[in-house]
Amino acid sequence: MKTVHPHDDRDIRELMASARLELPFDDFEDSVMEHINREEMMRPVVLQTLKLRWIFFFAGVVCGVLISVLLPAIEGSVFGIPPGVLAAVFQVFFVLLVFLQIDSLLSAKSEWQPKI
Amino acid sequence: MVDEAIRRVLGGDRDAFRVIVCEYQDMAYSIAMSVVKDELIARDVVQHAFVRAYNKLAQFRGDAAFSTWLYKILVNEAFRMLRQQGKDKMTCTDPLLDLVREYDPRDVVDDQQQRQYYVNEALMRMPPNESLALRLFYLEEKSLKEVSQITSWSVENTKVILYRARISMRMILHDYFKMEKQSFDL
Repeated sequence: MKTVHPHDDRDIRELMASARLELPFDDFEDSVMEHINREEMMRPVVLQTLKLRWIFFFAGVVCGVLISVLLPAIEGSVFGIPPGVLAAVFQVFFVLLVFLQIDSLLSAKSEWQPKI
Repeated sequence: MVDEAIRRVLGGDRDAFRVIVCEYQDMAYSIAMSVVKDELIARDVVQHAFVRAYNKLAQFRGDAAFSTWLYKILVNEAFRMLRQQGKDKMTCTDPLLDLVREYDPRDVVDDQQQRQYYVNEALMRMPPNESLALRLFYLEEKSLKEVSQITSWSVENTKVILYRARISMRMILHDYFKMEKQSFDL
Protein backbone atom coordinates (compact mmCIF):
# COMPACT_ATOMS: atom_id res chain seq x y z
CA MET A 1 0.00 0.00 0.00
CA LYS A 2 1.26 3.48 -0.82
CA THR A 3 2.23 5.45 2.29
CA VAL A 4 1.28 9.11 2.19
CA HIS A 5 3.08 11.57 4.43
CA PRO A 6 0.68 13.87 6.30
CA HIS A 7 2.60 16.93 5.09
CA ASP A 8 2.04 15.91 1.47
CA ASP A 9 -1.16 17.71 0.63
CA ARG A 10 -1.50 17.18 -3.13
CA ASP A 11 -4.08 14.41 -2.81
CA ILE A 12 -6.08 16.34 -0.20
CA ARG A 13 -6.06 19.43 -2.41
CA GLU A 14 -7.40 17.32 -5.24
CA LEU A 15 -10.08 15.73 -3.03
CA MET A 16 -11.15 19.04 -1.52
CA ALA A 17 -11.79 20.49 -4.97
CA SER A 18 -15.03 18.52 -4.94
CA ALA A 19 -16.09 19.55 -1.44
CA ARG A 20 -17.97 22.72 -2.36
CA LEU A 21 -21.60 22.66 -1.25
CA GLU A 22 -24.49 24.59 -2.73
CA LEU A 23 -27.03 26.24 -0.49
CA PRO A 24 -30.13 24.06 -0.91
CA PHE A 25 -32.65 26.84 -0.19
CA ASP A 26 -34.02 28.77 -3.18
CA ASP A 27 -35.55 31.56 -1.10
CA PHE A 28 -32.38 32.30 0.87
CA GLU A 29 -31.52 35.65 -0.75
CA ASP A 30 -35.06 36.95 -0.31
CA SER A 31 -35.12 35.79 3.26
CA VAL A 32 -31.88 37.65 4.09
CA MET A 33 -33.08 40.82 2.34
CA GLU A 34 -36.44 40.63 4.13
CA HIS A 35 -34.62 40.34 7.46
CA ILE A 36 -32.44 43.34 6.60
CA ASN A 37 -35.44 45.41 5.50
CA ARG A 38 -37.22 44.60 8.77
CA GLU A 39 -34.17 45.70 10.77
CA GLU A 40 -33.90 48.93 8.75
CA MET A 41 -37.52 49.72 9.58
CA MET A 42 -36.84 49.11 13.26
CA ARG A 43 -33.60 51.11 13.31
CA PRO A 44 -35.05 54.62 14.09
CA VAL A 45 -37.11 53.24 16.98
CA VAL A 46 -34.15 51.31 18.38
CA LEU A 47 -31.86 54.36 18.10
CA GLN A 48 -34.45 56.50 19.92
CA THR A 49 -34.65 53.89 22.70
CA LEU A 50 -30.86 53.80 22.84
CA LYS A 51 -30.75 57.57 23.31
CA LEU A 52 -33.15 57.23 26.25
CA ARG A 53 -31.01 54.42 27.68
CA TRP A 54 -27.96 56.74 27.62
CA ILE A 55 -29.92 59.52 29.37
CA PHE A 56 -31.10 57.16 32.13
CA PHE A 57 -27.62 55.70 32.39
CA PHE A 58 -26.07 59.13 33.07
CA ALA A 59 -28.87 59.97 35.50
CA GLY A 60 -28.15 56.67 37.30
CA VAL A 61 -24.42 57.40 37.42
CA VAL A 62 -25.07 60.82 39.00
CA CYS A 63 -27.40 59.24 41.60
CA GLY A 64 -24.88 56.45 42.26
CA VAL A 65 -22.05 58.90 42.85
CA LEU A 66 -24.24 60.95 45.20
CA ILE A 67 -25.24 57.86 47.17
CA SER A 68 -21.66 56.62 47.47
CA VAL A 69 -20.58 60.05 48.75
CA LEU A 70 -23.48 60.44 51.16
CA LEU A 71 -23.58 56.87 52.49
CA PRO A 72 -20.43 57.07 54.70
CA ALA A 73 -21.75 60.31 56.20
CA ILE A 74 -24.71 58.53 57.86
CA GLU A 75 -24.45 58.48 61.61
CA GLY A 76 -24.96 55.17 63.42
CA SER A 77 -25.51 51.88 61.60
CA VAL A 78 -28.07 50.65 59.07
CA PHE A 79 -29.56 47.24 60.05
CA GLY A 80 -26.48 46.74 62.22
CA ILE A 81 -24.08 47.34 59.30
CA PRO A 82 -21.57 50.20 59.70
CA PRO A 83 -22.03 52.90 56.99
CA GLY A 84 -18.41 52.45 55.80
CA VAL A 85 -18.97 48.78 54.96
CA LEU A 86 -22.31 49.57 53.35
CA ALA A 87 -20.69 52.28 51.19
CA ALA A 88 -17.87 49.92 50.13
CA VAL A 89 -20.32 47.16 49.10
CA PHE A 90 -22.48 49.69 47.26
CA GLN A 91 -19.46 51.11 45.41
CA VAL A 92 -18.34 47.67 44.24
CA PHE A 93 -21.81 46.86 42.85
CA PHE A 94 -22.10 50.35 41.40
CA VAL A 95 -18.80 50.10 39.49
CA LEU A 96 -19.69 46.61 38.20
CA LEU A 97 -23.10 47.83 37.05
CA VAL A 98 -21.59 50.87 35.31
CA PHE A 99 -19.13 48.69 33.37
CA LEU A 100 -21.81 46.18 32.37
CA GLN A 101 -24.12 48.96 31.20
CA ILE A 102 -21.39 50.72 29.23
CA ASP A 103 -20.53 47.42 27.50
CA SER A 104 -24.18 46.75 26.68
CA LEU A 105 -24.79 50.32 25.44
CA LEU A 106 -21.67 50.37 23.27
CA SER A 107 -22.47 46.99 21.69
CA ALA A 108 -26.01 48.16 20.97
CA LYS A 109 -24.63 51.38 19.49
CA SER A 110 -22.20 49.56 17.18
CA GLU A 111 -24.92 47.09 16.17
CA TRP A 112 -27.54 49.69 15.31
CA GLN A 113 -25.69 52.84 14.32
CA PRO A 114 -26.38 53.93 10.73
CA LYS A 115 -23.86 52.58 8.22
CA ILE A 116 -22.97 55.90 6.62
CA MET B 1 -18.40 43.76 -8.48
CA VAL B 2 -18.44 43.17 -4.72
CA ASP B 3 -16.48 46.38 -4.05
CA GLU B 4 -19.02 48.31 -6.08
CA ALA B 5 -21.86 46.63 -4.17
CA ILE B 6 -20.24 47.56 -0.83
CA ARG B 7 -19.94 51.20 -1.96
CA ARG B 8 -23.57 51.22 -3.05
CA VAL B 9 -24.80 49.70 0.22
CA LEU B 10 -22.80 52.25 2.23
CA GLY B 11 -24.28 54.93 -0.01
CA GLY B 12 -27.78 53.86 1.03
CA ASP B 13 -28.72 51.35 -1.69
CA ARG B 14 -29.87 48.54 0.55
CA ASP B 15 -30.78 46.23 -2.32
CA ALA B 16 -27.16 46.15 -3.54
CA PHE B 17 -26.43 43.85 -0.61
CA ARG B 18 -28.20 41.13 -2.63
CA VAL B 19 -25.12 41.00 -4.91
CA ILE B 20 -22.92 40.21 -1.89
CA VAL B 21 -25.33 37.53 -0.66
CA CYS B 22 -25.40 35.93 -4.14
CA GLU B 23 -21.63 35.97 -4.43
CA TYR B 24 -20.82 34.40 -1.06
CA GLN B 25 -23.84 32.33 -0.05
CA ASP B 26 -22.58 28.94 -1.27
CA MET B 27 -19.11 29.28 0.22
CA ALA B 28 -20.59 30.68 3.43
CA TYR B 29 -22.91 27.68 3.58
CA SER B 30 -19.97 25.27 3.03
CA ILE B 31 -18.06 26.91 5.88
CA ALA B 32 -21.07 26.91 8.20
CA MET B 33 -21.69 23.22 7.45
CA SER B 34 -18.08 22.46 8.39
CA VAL B 35 -18.81 23.71 11.88
CA VAL B 36 -22.45 22.96 12.65
CA LYS B 37 -22.97 19.85 10.46
CA ASP B 38 -26.69 20.47 9.98
CA GLU B 39 -28.37 22.02 6.94
CA LEU B 40 -31.04 24.01 8.77
CA ILE B 41 -28.72 25.29 11.47
CA ALA B 42 -26.15 26.20 8.81
CA ARG B 43 -28.82 28.18 6.97
CA ASP B 44 -29.61 30.14 10.16
CA VAL B 45 -25.92 30.73 10.80
CA VAL B 46 -25.36 32.07 7.28
CA GLN B 47 -28.45 34.27 7.49
CA HIS B 48 -27.41 35.78 10.86
CA ALA B 49 -23.88 36.29 9.56
CA PHE B 50 -25.10 38.18 6.47
CA VAL B 51 -27.40 40.39 8.54
CA ARG B 52 -24.57 41.06 10.99
CA ALA B 53 -22.21 41.83 8.11
CA TYR B 54 -24.77 44.28 6.70
CA ASN B 55 -25.07 46.03 10.06
CA LYS B 56 -21.30 46.24 10.52
CA LEU B 57 -20.43 47.05 6.92
CA ALA B 58 -19.20 50.55 7.81
CA GLN B 59 -16.56 48.91 10.02
CA PHE B 60 -15.03 47.06 7.05
CA ARG B 61 -11.92 49.09 6.30
CA GLY B 62 -10.52 46.98 3.51
CA ASP B 63 -7.33 45.96 5.40
CA ALA B 64 -8.10 42.34 4.53
CA ALA B 65 -10.15 40.80 1.71
CA PHE B 66 -13.90 41.24 2.12
CA SER B 67 -14.32 37.45 2.14
CA THR B 68 -11.90 37.17 5.08
CA TRP B 69 -13.86 39.79 7.02
CA LEU B 70 -17.21 38.13 6.19
CA TYR B 71 -15.97 34.61 7.05
CA LYS B 72 -14.70 35.84 10.40
CA ILE B 73 -18.22 37.00 11.27
CA LEU B 74 -19.60 33.72 9.91
CA VAL B 75 -17.19 31.50 11.86
CA ASN B 76 -17.90 33.40 15.10
CA GLU B 77 -21.61 32.97 14.50
CA ALA B 78 -21.19 29.25 13.69
CA PHE B 79 -19.18 28.52 16.85
CA ARG B 80 -21.63 30.56 18.92
CA MET B 81 -24.46 28.43 17.51
CA LEU B 82 -22.43 25.26 18.11
CA ARG B 83 -21.98 26.19 21.77
CA GLN B 84 -25.71 26.87 22.01
CA GLN B 85 -26.67 23.53 20.46
CA GLY B 86 -24.14 21.48 22.44
CA LYS B 87 -21.10 19.88 20.88
CA ASP B 88 -22.09 16.25 21.52
CA LYS B 89 -25.26 16.58 19.51
CA MET B 90 -23.30 17.40 16.35
CA THR B 91 -20.44 14.92 16.29
CA CYS B 92 -20.73 11.26 15.37
CA THR B 93 -18.98 8.70 17.53
CA ASP B 94 -18.35 6.11 14.83
CA PRO B 95 -17.67 7.82 11.53
CA LEU B 96 -16.94 4.68 9.56
CA LEU B 97 -20.09 2.79 10.47
CA ASP B 98 -22.28 5.80 9.74
CA LEU B 99 -20.61 6.29 6.39
CA VAL B 100 -21.20 2.69 5.35
CA ARG B 101 -24.74 2.59 6.72
CA GLU B 102 -25.77 5.65 4.74
CA TYR B 103 -24.09 4.59 1.53
CA ASP B 104 -26.44 3.78 -1.30
CA PRO B 105 -24.74 3.16 -4.65
CA ARG B 106 -27.93 4.05 -6.51
CA ASP B 107 -27.59 7.65 -5.27
CA VAL B 108 -24.34 8.24 -7.11
CA VAL B 109 -24.03 8.46 -10.87
CA ASP B 110 -20.33 8.74 -11.68
CA ASP B 111 -16.88 8.76 -10.04
CA GLN B 112 -16.89 12.51 -9.59
CA GLN B 113 -20.22 12.45 -7.74
CA GLN B 114 -19.08 9.48 -5.72
CA ARG B 115 -15.91 11.31 -4.70
CA GLN B 116 -17.89 14.45 -3.83
CA TYR B 117 -20.25 12.38 -1.71
CA TYR B 118 -17.50 10.71 0.31
CA VAL B 119 -15.38 13.81 0.75
CA ASN B 120 -18.36 15.75 2.08
CA GLU B 121 -19.41 12.84 4.30
CA ALA B 122 -15.87 12.63 5.67
CA LEU B 123 -15.91 16.38 6.36
CA MET B 124 -19.23 15.98 8.16
CA ARG B 125 -17.64 13.42 10.46
CA MET B 126 -14.53 15.37 11.29
CA PRO B 127 -14.27 17.71 14.28
CA PRO B 128 -15.56 21.21 13.39
CA ASN B 129 -12.19 22.94 13.62
CA GLU B 130 -10.53 20.38 11.31
CA SER B 131 -13.17 20.44 8.59
CA LEU B 132 -13.27 24.23 8.82
CA ALA B 133 -9.50 24.47 8.38
CA LEU B 134 -9.60 22.14 5.35
CA ARG B 135 -12.39 24.08 3.65
CA LEU B 136 -10.79 27.47 4.24
CA PHE B 137 -7.29 26.40 3.26
CA TYR B 138 -7.94 24.06 0.31
CA LEU B 139 -11.34 25.04 -1.00
CA GLU B 140 -11.37 28.77 -0.41
CA GLU B 141 -7.57 28.88 -0.89
CA LYS B 142 -6.97 31.16 2.06
CA SER B 143 -3.41 31.48 3.31
CA LEU B 144 -2.42 30.27 6.78
CA LYS B 145 -2.41 33.89 7.95
CA GLU B 146 -5.91 34.45 6.60
CA VAL B 147 -7.23 31.21 8.14
CA SER B 148 -5.69 32.39 11.38
CA GLN B 149 -7.42 35.80 11.06
CA ILE B 150 -10.78 34.21 10.28
CA THR B 151 -10.68 31.67 13.08
CA SER B 152 -8.69 33.66 15.67
CA TRP B 153 -6.30 30.69 16.03
CA SER B 154 -2.57 31.38 16.02
CA VAL B 155 -0.71 30.51 12.81
CA GLU B 156 1.08 27.67 14.64
CA ASN B 157 -2.19 26.29 15.92
CA THR B 158 -3.67 26.53 12.42
CA LYS B 159 -0.78 24.45 11.06
CA VAL B 160 -1.35 21.80 13.74
CA ILE B 161 -5.10 21.68 13.06
CA LEU B 162 -4.49 21.36 9.30
CA TYR B 163 -1.99 18.56 9.90
CA ARG B 164 -4.51 16.68 12.07
CA ALA B 165 -7.27 17.36 9.56
CA ARG B 166 -5.25 15.82 6.71
CA ILE B 167 -4.63 12.72 8.81
CA SER B 168 -8.31 12.47 9.81
CA MET B 169 -9.47 12.84 6.22
CA ARG B 170 -7.09 10.14 5.00
CA MET B 171 -8.02 7.79 7.84
CA ILE B 172 -11.77 8.13 7.31
CA LEU B 173 -11.53 7.68 3.53
CA HIS B 174 -8.90 4.93 3.72
CA ASP B 175 -10.91 2.92 6.25
CA TYR B 176 -14.02 3.27 4.19
CA PHE B 177 -12.44 2.14 0.93
CA LYS B 178 -10.75 -0.78 2.68
CA MET B 179 -14.12 -1.88 4.05
CA GLU B 180 -15.78 -1.44 0.68
CA LYS B 181 -13.08 -3.58 -0.97
CA GLN B 182 -13.61 -6.31 1.64
CA SER B 183 -17.34 -6.36 0.97
CA PHE B 184 -16.66 -6.78 -2.76
CA ASP B 185 -14.18 -9.62 -2.05
CA LEU B 186 -16.81 -11.54 -0.12
